[in-house]
Amino acid sequence: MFSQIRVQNFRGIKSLKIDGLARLNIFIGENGCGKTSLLESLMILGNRAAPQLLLNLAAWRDQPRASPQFDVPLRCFFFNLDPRVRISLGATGEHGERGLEISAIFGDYGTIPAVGGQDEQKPGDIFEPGPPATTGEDRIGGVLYRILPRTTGDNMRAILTPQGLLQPQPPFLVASGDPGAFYVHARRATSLNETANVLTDLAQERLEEMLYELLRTVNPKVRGLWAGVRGGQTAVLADLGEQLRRMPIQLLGDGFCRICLIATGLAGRNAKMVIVDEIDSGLHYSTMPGFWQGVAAMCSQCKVQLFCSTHNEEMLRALVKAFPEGTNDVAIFRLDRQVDGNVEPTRYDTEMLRTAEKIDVEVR
Amino acid sequence: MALSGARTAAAVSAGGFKPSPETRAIVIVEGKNLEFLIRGLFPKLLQTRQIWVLNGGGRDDMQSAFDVLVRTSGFREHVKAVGAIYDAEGDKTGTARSLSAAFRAAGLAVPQAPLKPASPGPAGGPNTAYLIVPHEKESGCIEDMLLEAYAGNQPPECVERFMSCLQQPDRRDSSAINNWKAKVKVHSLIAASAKPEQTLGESAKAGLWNADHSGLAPIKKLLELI
Repeated sequence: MFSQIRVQNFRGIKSLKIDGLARLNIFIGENGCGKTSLLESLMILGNRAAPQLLLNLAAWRDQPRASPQFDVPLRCFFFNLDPRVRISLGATGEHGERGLEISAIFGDYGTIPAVGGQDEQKPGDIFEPGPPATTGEDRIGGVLYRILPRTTGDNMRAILTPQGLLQPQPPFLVASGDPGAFYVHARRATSLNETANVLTDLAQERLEEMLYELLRTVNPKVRGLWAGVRGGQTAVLADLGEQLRRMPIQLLGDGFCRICLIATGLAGRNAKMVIVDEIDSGLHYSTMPGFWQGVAAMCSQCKVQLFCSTHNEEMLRALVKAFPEGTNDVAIFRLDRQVDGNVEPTRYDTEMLRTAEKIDVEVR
Repeated sequence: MALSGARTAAAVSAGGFKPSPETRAIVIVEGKNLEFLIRGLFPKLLQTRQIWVLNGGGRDDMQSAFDVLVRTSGFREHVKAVGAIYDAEGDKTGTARSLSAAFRAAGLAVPQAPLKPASPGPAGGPNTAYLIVPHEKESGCIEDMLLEAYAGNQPPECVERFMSCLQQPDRRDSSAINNWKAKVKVHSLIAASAKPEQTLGESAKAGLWNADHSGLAPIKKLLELI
């Protein structure tokens, strides 16, 4: 579990350091304060061995993909679109320090020594890309991606280009010990394949009831889910008891599908971090306290750390209702953008939320 | 920005209060009654000195209310002074101790005594001051001060008779009145006024209590200090 995160020059954040992370972390703040940038940085840090995920960031923000002629999506990794300043991401947790640096390669990226060849890199070697094909060019041909810290042999590097990932040197094996992060961006509603996989895993261990309990906070009629393949397409059907036929979950509404997706992430075996942008999306206010309780129970049972954002006041009020005795498992951070571009966090616990509600003070 | 009476959009968003550029100072008070009373008594002073009156809840919420207040968006940017007004109730010293602890835990300068403002250290922050009411009394509440400032010449006879009746020894639970005489009398005076349905805050707005009376001067002084 991460207890601290540090972000520098990434997306909308010039500098941000957050201490006191809990099992459930909720980020609030005005539009453009850096919430989504922070969640994206957590996603990257949780999946350091998969640098190609960086290329997905553009799609998740409705940008066209980068190409050799179109470097804007790569440029957008950098604060103020200034690729001259290196990105640095870091986290501290029960497994020690985890870090990452990303810097731009101007012009065409250099050659990378072939694996097994004369110039093959050894762990700990310093690897630099070759000189750009066209010197003085402002166009970004790719980014150099380094996993830190260097002292532990994690000093692995790769070059990410618009076409994809070039052979990492050495292969990213050490970093596979990273927690793994399941990311639900703001517009992501469902992923039947992932849900089907998780459902199968849970069914094998007779743990599927855990997932259903969270779904019942939105639709109390849910008795179970059934996953299968028809015509090569994955189908996930919900058993609502009273219905003769099981229904495709897509027919149960976006809110249900999204919770299904979040539950998939929480119960999945590959990710110990679940990251959800705009977690309230599709949720009716009456379901929110039960949803928080269900999420907290799943996080605890599956040893998952949740990071999410919301603008929704009812979602915060629901936290107070969900944990009437207070809890140390929940931390709320308001992010405030400063004039210089730095982002400052302010931490609240559920007890403070209760007082804020009582004395009518805005925490968002 | 009109700070008197009704809350204004500039300082209160849909969710609740947060400091705006017009919020130069904040005074935290004990409960909604005191909040609306002070708004009703000193509307012009609050407006000209850009003071926001914030209900800090009950005594048990004091620490948490301070913690929440200093965390609000815009607090460090806009707020130059923080005051507090709490009832002495049965223990003025205990109230003073709680207030000092609340200021300290919230990272604010700690005033050494009532109406003795404290300045922040080199790290900066707002000036602070507090008042325990009734001022310079060991116990009591804001209503003790209000009674001194009753704008009528004499309390109506019916009020005196009512108070006397409540304290008859043969009346069941007559001892319960002892700790709340001032509160009961204030509400009796409101009930005996031209608008018996008024709340405490409305009665202040309507002039039932003389805001310029020396009995209320300590509150005015606190608002001028911060």
